[in-house]
Order: sequence, then structure tokens, then C-alpha cells
Amino acid sequence: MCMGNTSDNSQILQRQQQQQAQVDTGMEQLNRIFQGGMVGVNPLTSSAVMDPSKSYYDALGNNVTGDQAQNLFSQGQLFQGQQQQQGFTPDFYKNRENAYLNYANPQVYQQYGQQLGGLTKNLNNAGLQHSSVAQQGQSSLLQELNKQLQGQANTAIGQSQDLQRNVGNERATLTSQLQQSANPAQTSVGALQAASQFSAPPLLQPLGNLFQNWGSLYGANNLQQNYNNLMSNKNQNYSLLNVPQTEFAGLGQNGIFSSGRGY
Amino acid sequence: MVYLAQGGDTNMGLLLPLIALAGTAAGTGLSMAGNAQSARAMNNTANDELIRQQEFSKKGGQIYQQNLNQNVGVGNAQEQMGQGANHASALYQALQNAQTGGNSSGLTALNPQTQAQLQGRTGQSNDASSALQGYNSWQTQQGLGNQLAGTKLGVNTTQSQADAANLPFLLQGAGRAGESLQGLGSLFSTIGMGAGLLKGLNGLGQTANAPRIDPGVSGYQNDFSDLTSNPYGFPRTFSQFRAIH
Repeated sequence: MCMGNTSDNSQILQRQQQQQAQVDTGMEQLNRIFQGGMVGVNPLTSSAVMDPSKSYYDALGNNVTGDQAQNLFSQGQLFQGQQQQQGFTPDFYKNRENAYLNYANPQVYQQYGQQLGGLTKNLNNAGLQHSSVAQQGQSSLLQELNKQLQGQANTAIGQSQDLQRNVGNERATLTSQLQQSANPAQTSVGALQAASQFSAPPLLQPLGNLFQNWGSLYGANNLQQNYNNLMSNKNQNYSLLNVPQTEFAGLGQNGIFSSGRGY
Repeated sequence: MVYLAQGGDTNMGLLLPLIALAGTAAGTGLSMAGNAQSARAMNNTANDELIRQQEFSKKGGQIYQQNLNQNVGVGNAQEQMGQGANHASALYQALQNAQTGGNSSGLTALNPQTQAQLQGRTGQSNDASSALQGYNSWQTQQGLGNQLAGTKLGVNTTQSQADAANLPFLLQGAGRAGESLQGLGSLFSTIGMGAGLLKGLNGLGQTANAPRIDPGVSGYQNDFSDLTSNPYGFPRTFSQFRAIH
């Protein structure tokens, strides 16, 4: 009777320790999936039959044989393959930033080129291509370009940080699942699926008209004001004030300078 | 039983009380030993659980301290903000250095003064923006660090609770550890009680007015003595019984 009770207690403790060991193994497996390292993949289902001629692995990608393999199989913790996980390293997030910038920057430069073309044409039409107005317009456009590039960089960093938070949330969710199931094999499948989803490129929309504000404000008003100032300084009677605004409204329509009055 | 009791000799009369006394004493002693064994086993079980809980607590403390060391405090915040700001600043620089100038458009290149103004304004904007990005980065890293520490603490707590939940079952099992001695003690106690009962019965037969069982006395009648006849031919006395068998 005494021996039986001792055995009962031993079994309770053994089960408890086994479950804790499974959770610890699962935590290490999640660490390796999320931070990089070798893990076992393709868990052998309980309905499958072990093939002695094949190689099997534990949750951490270690090769196992014999009784150890059989024991892991009975617990549903035997894997048919091993895989080196890259993990969500700083390089991973940096690559995501670069991926976004590679997507966004061509659009920024395309729009910048259109604005520059419009500005050049407008200044040439006004005969101001070598003037201080041209310097100011060009400088203003470059400043706007820098501002847009900075904005895109911030967007890229923000997306990277969002991704880090999503990865963290997913890891917390999987850890919670691991505790509830105490089944590293099942959790591992979920983690690998999550990792592949995070690695996929996001669906992005076109950036829209980034230089619209600059085109409408600087193009319609500032250039005109600068030109007027220049003319008044020269005590000449030209003025663009009589030019209908619709002539310049076209400048801001698409953020691109259309033809001016030909001054 | 009556036959044994009436063995009649003095030896048995002394033996029964001794057996009763010894059995009771042994039974009591074994029961006490069994209880002590159960108590020791339960104490050991409780102590083992306490040690395991202390280990869980120690592990939880280490996780917490690690998070404090890596994620909390002005020093860590400044380091994380600095890293975030440097990263953003480097990214701005890389992008802006790659920009195309106005020369290819047919416009005159920016004069040094305008270029310096442009660079000054852009630099100020970059510095301010990268500093703000540093705060964002710190917030993100802080959140991620706390989340990871919380997750680890959650796992530790769950394991601790699961372990503690087994304690009642373990104590129940430990409480039965002395059952074998207690059972043996009960057996001895029963023997002692049985012997005492026998002695009592024997003593009852030796009271002054009670009919005494004495096969050597001729013509002694048993409790059937009120019967005037023995219609069924059953032996009435022990002598008759012995004579038949």
C-alpha cells in the first residue's frame, strides 16, 4: 500500500515535470524560430508509423534514434526534418525598410522630376532660368524632395516597427497556445506559418501626389511673388498680378507646372 | 472458545492478559509510528513543494531583473533612443545623398550660398525628425521588451501554479505513507482486544455462583439441566461429549 502511494506521487511529479519540460522545449523552439536557430519540422502524426530507415529529429532539430525517438513519438514530439530558421533579426527589419523604400522612392523621384520639369519650363518661359528666382525655386523644390524622402524613410521605419510589434504579438500568442496545449509540435507549426506570413511583402497602394502642396503653394504664389518682387526691384512695370489665377492654377493641378504666360 | 478458555490451567489465565496488553501496546506503538511516518512524508512533500516554488520565484525574479537591466531606466532609454535616432539619420542621409540635382534640367546649379542654406535647413529637419524617431524606437523596444518579459513570467507563473495545484494530491498520497504500519498496529490492537475479551469471558465463568465447567464432576448438568429428559440423545455434559468423540 505504501509503495503504491509512493508510486502515485512519483507519477504525478513525473507527469508534472514532463509537462514543464515540454513547455520549456517549446519556449526554446519559439526562441529559435523567432530569433534564429535549428528546429525540427514536419511533426510525425500519431496515426503515422515510424520508419526505422528514416532519420527523425526532436523539437530542437537534434537527431534522435531508438527509445528516445519512440518516446518522443508517443508524446507527439517527433519531427521528420530539421530546418535552420533565420529568425526576425535586425537585418530582417532593415530589409523590410529597404523593400518599402525601393517601392516608394521611384515614385518620389518620378514626381520630383515632373515638378522639376515644370519649374524649369516655367522659368525658361519667363527667362528666369539663371535668376535668383530660379535658385530659390530649385532650392525650394529640393527641400521639398528632402522632406518627402524623409517622410518615406519615416514611413519605412514605422512599418518596420509595426512589424516588430506584430511579431512580438504573434510570439506572445503562440506562447499562450504552448502553455494551454503543452504541445511544442503544434505550436511550432503555428510559429512557422506566422513567420512565413510576416516574411511576405505587404500590399501597398500608390503614394499619391506628394508634391501637391509644394506645387499649389510655391508654384502658384511663391514664384509669382518672387517674380513680382524681382520686377519691382528693377522698377519695371511688369506684373504677374494681372495674370488670371487660372493660368497658374494649372500648376498645382497635378503638382506639375504647366505653361506660364511666356514672360 | 469455551473449550480453550476452560483449559482451565493457570498458564492460560496469565497468558491472555499478557497477550492483550502486549497486543494493545504494540498496536498503539505501531499506529503512532505509522502516524509519524505519514507526518514526515507530508512534511517532506510540503517542503519539496516549497523548494520548487522558491525555484519558480527565483526564475521569475531573474526574468524581471533581466528586463529591468535591459529595458528600464534613463540609461537604457537614451541608448535605445540614440540607436533609433542614428538609424533614422543614416537612412535620411543615404536617401538624400542619392537625390538628383538640378543641373541635368538645364537650370543653373545652386550657388554655394543657396546650397548651404538648403543643407542647413535639411540638416535641421533631419536632426529633429531623427530625434523623434528615436523616441518612437525606444517606445517600440520598451514595449517589445516588456511583452517578452511578461510572456516569460506568464509561463513561469503558469508552471508554478500547475505545480502547486498538485500539492493536495501529493499530500494525500504522503498521508497514506504510514498506512502499512497503522494497519499492522490495528491488527495488533485487535489481537489485544480479542485476548482481553477472552480473558473477560473466562473471568465471567469463574464467578462464585456461576455453574463451573468441570468435566471431572460427575452428574454435572449444563444449561440444559432444566430439561428432565434428553429426548434427542444429545450429550449433556462435557464428559459425555468427550466420551462420544
